[in-house]
Amino acid sequence: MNGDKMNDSMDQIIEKAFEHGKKYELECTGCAQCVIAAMFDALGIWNDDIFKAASGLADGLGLTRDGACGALVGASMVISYLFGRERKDFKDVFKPFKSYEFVKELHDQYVEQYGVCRCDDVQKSLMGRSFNLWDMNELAEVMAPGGLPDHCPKLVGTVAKLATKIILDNGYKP
Amino acid sequence: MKEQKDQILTKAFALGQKYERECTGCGQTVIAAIFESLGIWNDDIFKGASGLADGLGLTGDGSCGALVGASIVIGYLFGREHKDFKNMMKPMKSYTLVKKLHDQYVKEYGSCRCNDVQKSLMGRTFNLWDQKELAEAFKSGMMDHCSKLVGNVAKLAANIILRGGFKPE
Repeated sequence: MNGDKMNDSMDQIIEKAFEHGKKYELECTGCAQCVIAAMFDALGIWNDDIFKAASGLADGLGLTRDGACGALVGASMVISYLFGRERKDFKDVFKPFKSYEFVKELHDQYVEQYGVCRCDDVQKSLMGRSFNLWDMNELAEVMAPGGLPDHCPKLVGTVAKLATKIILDNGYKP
Repeated sequence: MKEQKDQILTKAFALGQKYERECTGCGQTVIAAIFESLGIWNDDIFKGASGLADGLGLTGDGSCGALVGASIVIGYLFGREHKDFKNMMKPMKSYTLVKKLHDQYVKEYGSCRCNDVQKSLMGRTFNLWDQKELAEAFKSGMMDHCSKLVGNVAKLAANIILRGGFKPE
């Protein structure tokens, strides 16, 4: 494969990650699962257990808004799934360093773009306020124009794209 | 039944503390402790938590890695499956149980952000990417604090998992 063709396919993969992330978050919600599905689709892999395990991380941990953005954490799980420490190396404290380094890179790019990584703070910066999804009234408000569906799908797509690029840049061959 | 539950919770705490001390990487150590105390295991889930330590890639900025790792086990046992992806209500059980864990965590540690928890336990934070601060972190007893915290989160999560209906063999 020549260089140009390689770049073409890399751009296509990254674009697919963005499109799928945006689409899934709009249609299915649950940012951590949406970003994982988008990245897996784009890279041509799949893992049911990783997908299921990210189910509760949405909206800053169990819809509390208090933890880090679920899309950022989900994408960090995919990086770890591909570059992380395995059980046979559990006692080797240096084996996770590749995953630490790539997750930090993603975190730093995220914070450069959104200012912070805590869900509640990101909501405030994107929409001027945050929404308590455990409150039925606020849940209705959030679906109105200008609410979460106008912002989170694009964010999920962007995070899927950034993370997929880090994965490809660091030698993962789809 | 109660005896079995007490044994599981004691084991979750002891293994979490031991693994964090010996292996470090709070996202993975809490998962190993919860899995082993419940008598289950999954290599992919374990590996998939590798980069979450110390608030995402040792940045201190994200949520506590032990809290996120434990939430991943809750998702693995009670979460939405791929076949139900379009059903927005299917993740609700995992949301409810993760929120419960989050709320218990914040009640005990005041915040769920790694840097805030470090400040509250040790009076300051440590940049683990800096060799000098890494040495200071060891001197300040970070290992003691974090290993106890990992044991504690493993225990809280195992309790929520058992009360949520998971039946160990």
